[in-house]
Amino acid sequence: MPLPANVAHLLRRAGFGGSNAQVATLAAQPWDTTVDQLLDFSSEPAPLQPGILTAPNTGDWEKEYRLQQWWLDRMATSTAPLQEKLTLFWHGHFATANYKVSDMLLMYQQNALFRANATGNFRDLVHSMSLQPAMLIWLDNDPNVKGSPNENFARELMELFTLGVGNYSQTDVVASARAWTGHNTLDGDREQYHFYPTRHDADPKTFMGVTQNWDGPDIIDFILNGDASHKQTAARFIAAKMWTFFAYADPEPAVVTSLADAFLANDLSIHDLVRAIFMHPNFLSPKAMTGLVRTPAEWVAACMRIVGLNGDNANPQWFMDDMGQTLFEPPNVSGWRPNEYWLTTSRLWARANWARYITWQDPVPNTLSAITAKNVHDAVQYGFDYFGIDTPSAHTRSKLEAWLTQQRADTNAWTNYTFINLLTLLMLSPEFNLA
Amino acid sequence: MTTSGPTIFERHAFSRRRFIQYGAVGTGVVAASPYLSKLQAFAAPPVADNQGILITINLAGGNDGLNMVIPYADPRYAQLRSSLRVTNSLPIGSGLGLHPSLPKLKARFDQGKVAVVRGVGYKPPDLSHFTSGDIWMHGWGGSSSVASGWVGRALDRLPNAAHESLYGVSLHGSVSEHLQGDVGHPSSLPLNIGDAFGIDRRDRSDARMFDAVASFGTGASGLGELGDLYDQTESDLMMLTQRIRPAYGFANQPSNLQQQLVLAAHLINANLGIRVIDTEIDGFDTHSDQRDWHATLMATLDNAIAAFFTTLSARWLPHVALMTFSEFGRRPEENGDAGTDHGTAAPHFVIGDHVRGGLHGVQPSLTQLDNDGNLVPSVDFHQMYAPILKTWLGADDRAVLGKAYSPLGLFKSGPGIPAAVKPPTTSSAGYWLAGPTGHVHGVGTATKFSSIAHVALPLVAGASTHTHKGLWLAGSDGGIFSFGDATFHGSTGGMRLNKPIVAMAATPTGKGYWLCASDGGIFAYGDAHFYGSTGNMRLNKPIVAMAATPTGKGYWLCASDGGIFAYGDAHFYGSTGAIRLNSPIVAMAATPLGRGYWLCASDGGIFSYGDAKFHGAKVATSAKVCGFAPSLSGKGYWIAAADGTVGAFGDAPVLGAVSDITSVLVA
Repeated sequence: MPLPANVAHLLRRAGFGGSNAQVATLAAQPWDTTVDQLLDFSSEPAPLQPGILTAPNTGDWEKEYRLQQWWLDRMATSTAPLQEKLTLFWHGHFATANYKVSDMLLMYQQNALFRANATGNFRDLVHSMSLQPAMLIWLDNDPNVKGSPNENFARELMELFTLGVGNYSQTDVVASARAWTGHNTLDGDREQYHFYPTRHDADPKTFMGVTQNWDGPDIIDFILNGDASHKQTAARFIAAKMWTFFAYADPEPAVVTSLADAFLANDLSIHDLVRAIFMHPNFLSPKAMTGLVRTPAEWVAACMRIVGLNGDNANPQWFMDDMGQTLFEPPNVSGWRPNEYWLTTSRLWARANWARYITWQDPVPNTLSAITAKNVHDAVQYGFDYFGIDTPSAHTRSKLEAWLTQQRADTNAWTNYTFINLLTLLMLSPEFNLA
Repeated sequence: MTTSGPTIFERHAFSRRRFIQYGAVGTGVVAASPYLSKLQAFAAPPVADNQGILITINLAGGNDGLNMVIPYADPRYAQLRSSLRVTNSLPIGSGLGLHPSLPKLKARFDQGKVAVVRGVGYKPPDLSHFTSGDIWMHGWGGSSSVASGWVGRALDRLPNAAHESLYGVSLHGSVSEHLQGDVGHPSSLPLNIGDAFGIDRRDRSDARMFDAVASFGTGASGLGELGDLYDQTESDLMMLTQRIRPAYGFANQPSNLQQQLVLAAHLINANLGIRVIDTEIDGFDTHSDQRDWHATLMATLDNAIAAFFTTLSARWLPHVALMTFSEFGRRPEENGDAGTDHGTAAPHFVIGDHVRGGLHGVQPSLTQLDNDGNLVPSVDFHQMYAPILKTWLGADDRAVLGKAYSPLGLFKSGPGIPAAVKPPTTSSAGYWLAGPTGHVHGVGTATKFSSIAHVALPLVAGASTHTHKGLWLAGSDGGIFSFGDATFHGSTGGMRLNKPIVAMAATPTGKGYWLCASDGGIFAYGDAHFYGSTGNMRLNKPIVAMAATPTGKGYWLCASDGGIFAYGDAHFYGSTGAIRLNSPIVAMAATPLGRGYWLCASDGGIFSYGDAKFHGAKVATSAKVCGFAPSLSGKGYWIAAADGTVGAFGDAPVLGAVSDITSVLVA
């Protein structure tokens, strides 16, 4: 049976952390059973489209922050947290931002696609996202027409979405841009995809050395199916990026090879790739155990889950911009970067401000009131348990115990401050900010 | 680039910058260096006498340069701008005039402090906001591609750039690409801090919580490199809150840009070591109904720049230059919606006391346009960056820009004040020596005062007033004795102290002082403010000395092992913390400019840091050293020993010893 610490690690990576009770339950069954349960999203039906998206007299900015709250609520409460975690991964991978799209309905449709196809076939996902209005607008395929091709989408499709930089030439970019001409949004209704044959360049183009009348979707099929070498390149590219999301950055080539093999074995099944990641021995290596910083979305969702606040009360949307991660607003088409990217003073300051803010939001303040009757060691341990910090470092424990000792020595201090401040300190503890 | 047909940005106001991707995706992020510093973060060397500070103002969206610096005398201008032409511009010569909403900038231009650089752009032009903004912000003419911005690469070359978050700061929410370095990590500072976490330490429970967060950074996290980095960053953050706090608290300004620029001036005044401040004003994508909109933007810019200079301390005027930039200018011929479409070249301003005011570059022709009907640039923007890098930021412009560009002559001189006009030294010199039992001896020009009749506990510390016509002496119980023009502002005499008082320092006004206990506890009186203490830390060695900065807005505490703790506007310049000392440190003093300090050991050994110079050490006696004081010029110092012997070094004259047991030296 797996070690509880390993189960806790899996729940942090495959979701947004678990309770001690969950860890205990899952530690009593085989590891692969737990992995397969995490990959089974059937308990969580597809969400209904939030009504605010079509509410009259509602600004897009309001829809945006409501959707941010809505998604964080799902992360915090879903019975299939891995589905939300993967949706977040795809959001960062096919990074699309509403500051350019300016239409949250389109952003939601993309989000729903990521969720529905979170563990589906990768090629299908690329096909679908390419023709959604959000992506057409985001990477300027909307005005991409015969005679004035726009290279933006054509380039990123290869550089960021499938192959990685250096695995194509400028000639391929130009040919692909021509192949994608005519795949626009509908004139007069940019919420609809439309293919305009008259705007499509149907002349022969030479892409990856093959001259034919390429159409946009043909490019995807060639890279991810027709040409084994490119398919292999793409499988390694996606496998390495997903390992970086779930385990640690810069995976060893042997790890990437084994993951890519699993990914390719069933024709780019994302399910199989994710499973291979959690089943890989290196997933439980010391390097993996301390290999990731929680992104703001993961950290906020974990806090909300533990203290039982929803987005409407926790208002994370006013703080997450400063934390560096605004959902539906990745900073650029390459998404967010991991680890050190989050660890700047201003970004951690935003975490601290929110950690302070929510401790005063009902019903949070009394969360840890039980520590009042406990001695210093037991009180700090109670806090760790409450936050699912299963293996706190001696360093953190000693700092929290020293703090609590001093705090209690101040006879003028209001008792409630003590457990309220412990709540903030646990949210800001290094254990809780590592994934 | 497609210019036919509307894009999303032609239907919607351009509202936010996009930062193009750079660096590897997902992987390849620079590995965390081991974090070794302890309470030494943000120890950026302050801006030196000959160093400059740059403020960038991004006119985001593509500013209509033709209506900012208006070629009113060119008949073609009126033809191209049938409805948008500005007829009442403020003439600046050569047939050009500033927009009438820029009167304050015009006045500054007339003083010779504004360079107007005409026709700035690049070839071939790109009419996309993002691509063109990226080109401007990358500022790279080299052959290989770069991930960083031109300002970031300049800041990368400063000491400890990888760990210093205050070299480059953004005041508009996110860190723009031009600020991003390959190794540095610029900060984004909020426009208001209010009661942000860590700021307000008045509540003792809160202060303990902040100190607990800071304490995460003392020692290894036990959670690997990322855990160490996290802990260290939290520690740094708790220090940063106290560092930047003095810059805040000013009244809200009428525009966002003005809020940014007034904050920028306060940050500079606070002397935090910041080298580049990035500000931004949005809304220049004026595709329709441009006239009033653009006039409002011009007025906002004018007022914000004026407010910046009103706020900036005169001390910093010689160190500051501002520059505008924008991703492109706009089409000379207005469109059918009383607006203008994306263009190419535009004029920009470089502003400052050392700027060579007047017109630079060449005004682009309004008749010889490119195929899209846009201006042909006469100045490559890198030529504007080159002197800013080389002359103002002291950077290697060629290395930063990836290529040698012929620089524009934008500056009359480099930053700072010429050495000839530095504060004069004084010829008068003197010091007081005091004994533990209350004897006070005035030596040299120091006034002779009567000794104290009854001293309950030994005198351990002292400080002179700013006039040097009086002094305070402190007993180990914190009792204060005032002499001459020194006045009493309070003492710990009636308090029960955890640890004895060991050091004191006075503010530059003579209206306040700090007392410091051996546990680093700080007691502030009069106009002296509390900026932090080691009271909640576990010290390896006791605090033995302190010194205040010349502004009175910060101080250093020094432990007997030479460990230095810097607070407020005091900077860390080095310590003997890593050296095994023969004898403990017993005294310290700051230089007149506050950009360095000396530590003095009980055997007379001297350790000098920052702009403090070594002029000699040791006193000719076997008695232990008890006091150290620099001369008024800072070009010398005295060292006093417990038997009354005084050694004079540098320009400190030999004034004599006393035959008395001595515990305090005050100059």
